[in-house]
Amino acid sequence: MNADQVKFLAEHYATLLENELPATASVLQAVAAGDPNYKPDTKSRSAWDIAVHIAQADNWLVQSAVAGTFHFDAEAAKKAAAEFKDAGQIAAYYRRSLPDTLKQLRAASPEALLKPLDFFGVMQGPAVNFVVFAHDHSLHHRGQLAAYLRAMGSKVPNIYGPSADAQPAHT
Amino acid sequence: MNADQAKFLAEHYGRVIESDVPTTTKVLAAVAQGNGDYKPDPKSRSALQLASHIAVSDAWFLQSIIDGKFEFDQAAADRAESQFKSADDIAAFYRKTMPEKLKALRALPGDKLAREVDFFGFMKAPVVTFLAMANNHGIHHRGQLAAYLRAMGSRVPAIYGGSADEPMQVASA
Repeated sequence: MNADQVKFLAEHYATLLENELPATASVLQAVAAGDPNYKPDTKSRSAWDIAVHIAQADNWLVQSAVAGTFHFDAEAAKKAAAEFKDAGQIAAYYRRSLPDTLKQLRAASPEALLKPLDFFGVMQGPAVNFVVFAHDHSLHHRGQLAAYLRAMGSKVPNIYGPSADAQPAHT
Repeated sequence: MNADQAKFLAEHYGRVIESDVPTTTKVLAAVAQGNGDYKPDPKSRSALQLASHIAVSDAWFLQSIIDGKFEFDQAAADRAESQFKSADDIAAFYRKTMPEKLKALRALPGDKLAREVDFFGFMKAPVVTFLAMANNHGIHHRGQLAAYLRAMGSRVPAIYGGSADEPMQVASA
């Protein structure tokens, strides 16, 4: 991958994440209309935990890729999560923080985006690969959370097309 | 988008989708270990419906990009989804079909990938950019299906890391 290609790929994913932001924020917000402690199984994360995970991980993964290092401070993440009092605050944080994170991504130099990074010994690759991971990881967890919403008493917003809960009703 | 960029993006998504095929196949196969009729709500798709939708639509998206045009035939989609007798059939279809489509995708020249196409009147864009839509749609529905698995009596395979049912295996030195 050369400098032009890595900038092209970073811009492509910045645009994708930007385009997904309204749908992701809607899904996070929808947690507020149901039981946030719902989990489909005792081994599963609760809706609340997934919502916090999406909001924090999307920012942390992209920011870490741009900064060129992965360091996870579990205590700091826990402290930040404890500041959310309801799912509306998680959605608001996401709406506010992600555009700033994407600004950092777009400002990153080709050298920074090409820098080889190690992700806790599990994955290695150029920094831009972890932006791809951030994007796909986010959609995965948003899909999970969307599957919780009806069972927890909330409604599924439109994501890649109309949902059966959308107004006006679609089948 | 120029032809070189289109070719680069197609190669990128070829790798991304290819590396996801084994994971998606595992999630589809996991439906066989539980109640395939499970749905979290009466308005939701059942696990088997969702699994069929993932397999057929991932293949449809790639074929449409290869063909350079989007046409949706509901009857053909219904027939394609009803060909499956079990979740194992769905997983086997996916395992066989996706590498074939990815091979055809990789053989496309850059100028064909950069050609603008219409997506059902909603948008026009270079055909290669619809690989992003294909990828996102597949990941989204696989995430949904993964959330069904324990409640339907199955187990969640490792997806973007270990799961409680399939913890990450770290190779020893």
